[in-house]
Amino acid sequence: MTNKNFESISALLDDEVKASELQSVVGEIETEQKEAFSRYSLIGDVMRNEQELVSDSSFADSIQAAIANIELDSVEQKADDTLVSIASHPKWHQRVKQKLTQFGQSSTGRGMSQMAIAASVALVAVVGVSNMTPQQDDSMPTPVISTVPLVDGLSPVSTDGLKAKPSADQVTQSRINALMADHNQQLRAADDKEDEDEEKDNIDN
Amino acid sequence: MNVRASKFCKVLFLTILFVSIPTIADDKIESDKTSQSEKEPLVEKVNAVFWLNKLKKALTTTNFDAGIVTIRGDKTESFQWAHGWIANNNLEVERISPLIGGGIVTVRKGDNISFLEPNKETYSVQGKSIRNFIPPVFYKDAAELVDSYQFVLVSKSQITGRSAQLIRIESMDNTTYNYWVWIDVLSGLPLRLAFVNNTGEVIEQVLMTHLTLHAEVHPDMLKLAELELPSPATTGLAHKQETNNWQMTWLPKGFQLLKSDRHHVSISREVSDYYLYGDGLTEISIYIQRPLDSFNSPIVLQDGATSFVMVRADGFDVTVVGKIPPEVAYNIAKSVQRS
Repeated sequence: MTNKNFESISALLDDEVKASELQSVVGEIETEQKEAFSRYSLIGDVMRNEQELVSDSSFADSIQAAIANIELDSVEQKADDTLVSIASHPKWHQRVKQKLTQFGQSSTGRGMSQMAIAASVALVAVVGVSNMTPQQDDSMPTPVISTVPLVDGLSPVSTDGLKAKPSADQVTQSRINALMADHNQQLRAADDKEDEDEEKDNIDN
Repeated sequence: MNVRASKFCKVLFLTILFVSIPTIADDKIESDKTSQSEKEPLVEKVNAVFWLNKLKKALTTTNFDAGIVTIRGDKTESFQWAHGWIANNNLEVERISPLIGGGIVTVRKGDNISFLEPNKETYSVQGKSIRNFIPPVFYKDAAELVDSYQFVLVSKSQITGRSAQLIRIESMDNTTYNYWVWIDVLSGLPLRLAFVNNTGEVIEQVLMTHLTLHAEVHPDMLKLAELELPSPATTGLAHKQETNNWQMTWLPKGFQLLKSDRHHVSISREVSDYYLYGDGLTEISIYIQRPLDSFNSPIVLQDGATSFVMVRADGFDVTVVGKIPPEVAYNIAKSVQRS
C-alpha cells in the first residue's frame, strides 16, 4: 500500500479535487480506501478543532491488551519484589496490599507492622522537621534583616528632627559669638566721652 | 646725720636693686625680688607718673613706624603702627593696619577716627585714641588711675634690643588685672604691654617687634593727612536713654559709664540693652537681653585676659564681657537689677 493511492482521497478532503476527477475518485474507493477516507477526515476534523477525538473502544482495548502483555512480561522477567518492580507494575498497589496482609497476618508481622508504622511516622516527623528547619532559617533572618534598616531608619529621623530646630547649645553659642564680636565693635567706636555713639547698629536705623 | 643715713640707705638699696637684677628674662622672678622694696617711697610713685607722662608725650608727638604683635591665649595678631606729628598744623596722624590683609585699617587724624574695611563703607567716630592695643588712659592723664591702681616703678630690662623701663600698674583690690608697661628709655614709646593676673602670670600681652623713629614726619603720614575721610556721625543717643532702666549695683572701683544704648547686636541682630564702662585701662560691656530658652547659667568663658560671663537673672539674661577677672565679671552680672 502506497500513499499514492490515497492521494486522490486526501485531495478530495482538502477540496483540491477537480470536478472531472471527482466521480472517478468516488467510484474508485474501495474498502481499504474507505478506512483511509475515514481516518483522513478524522485527522482533518481534529486539526481544525471540529471534532473531539473519540477513539474506537476496540482500538483502546487492543492497546491496553498490548500494554498489559508487555508489562506482565517485564514483571515476570525481573521476578523480585523490589519497590521499583512493584511500582513499575500497573497493579502494584494490589500486590503491596496482598503482601502487607500476608505480612500482617503472620505473628511477627503484627509487631513489625506497628514498628513500621511508628518508624514511618518517625520518618515523616524527621522529614517534616528537617523540612521545617530550613523554613525557619529562611523565615527568621528575614525579620532580622528587616528590623536593622528599621532601627537605622529611626535614628536619622530623630537627628533630622533635632537639626531642624537648633539646639539650645547652638543658640547659646551663636549668642556668645555675637556678643564677643559686638563687644569688640563697641570698643572700637567708644570714646571716654559719654555723648558719643556709633551710628551703626542703633535700633532706630 | 639722719639725712646722711637715709641717703646711704637709698644708695645701698639701689645698688642691691641693680646688682640683684642684671638681665632677668623672667618677669615673675623680677617682680618678686623687687616688690617688697618698691611699695614704700613716694619718690617712686612720682617717677612712675613721670614715665607715664613721657609715654603720653611720645605717643602723641613722635614720628615712628612700629611692628606690633598681640598675643592672647593661643592667638596672635600683628599690626603695623605708624604715627606722625605734623607740628605746623598741630595735627596727629596715626594708622594701625593689620599685617595680614583683609582686616580693618584704622586711621586717626586728630580726634577723628576712621575705619576702613574692604567692601564696606568707611565710617568715622570721634575719639582721642585708637582703642586697639594701647589703653586710652595713656593718651590722657594717667593720674586718673590713682584711685584704683598703684604705680610701681620697677627695673629696666631689654625689649627688642632697647632699654626699657617697667612700670607696674597694680590693682589695689584685685578687682582688675594688673597692667605692666615697658617704656622705651630713649623714645618713651611702649615696647611691651601685659595683662598680669594676681599670681604674676602674664595672660595677654602686646609686643613691639621693631621700632623706627623718624626725626621728621614721614611722607606717608603727610599723604594720609591729606586723605579725605568722613566726619564722625553726629547722632546723639539722648533720646534712647529712657529705654535703659537697668542698674549696676556693683562695679569695680574706677569704672565709669562710657555709653549706654539699645541696639541690635552685630551678627545675630538680637536686641540688647547695652552699657559700656571703662576705667581707662580696660572696658566692660554689659548686655541685657531676653532670656534664652535654655542655657546652663552661669556660662563663664575666658580668652586671654577677656572674660565672658552670661548669667540668668529674673526674666532676663545678663552678659558681661571685658578684660577683667571672670569672678569680677560674674559679680557685676549678678549685680544688675531693674531700676
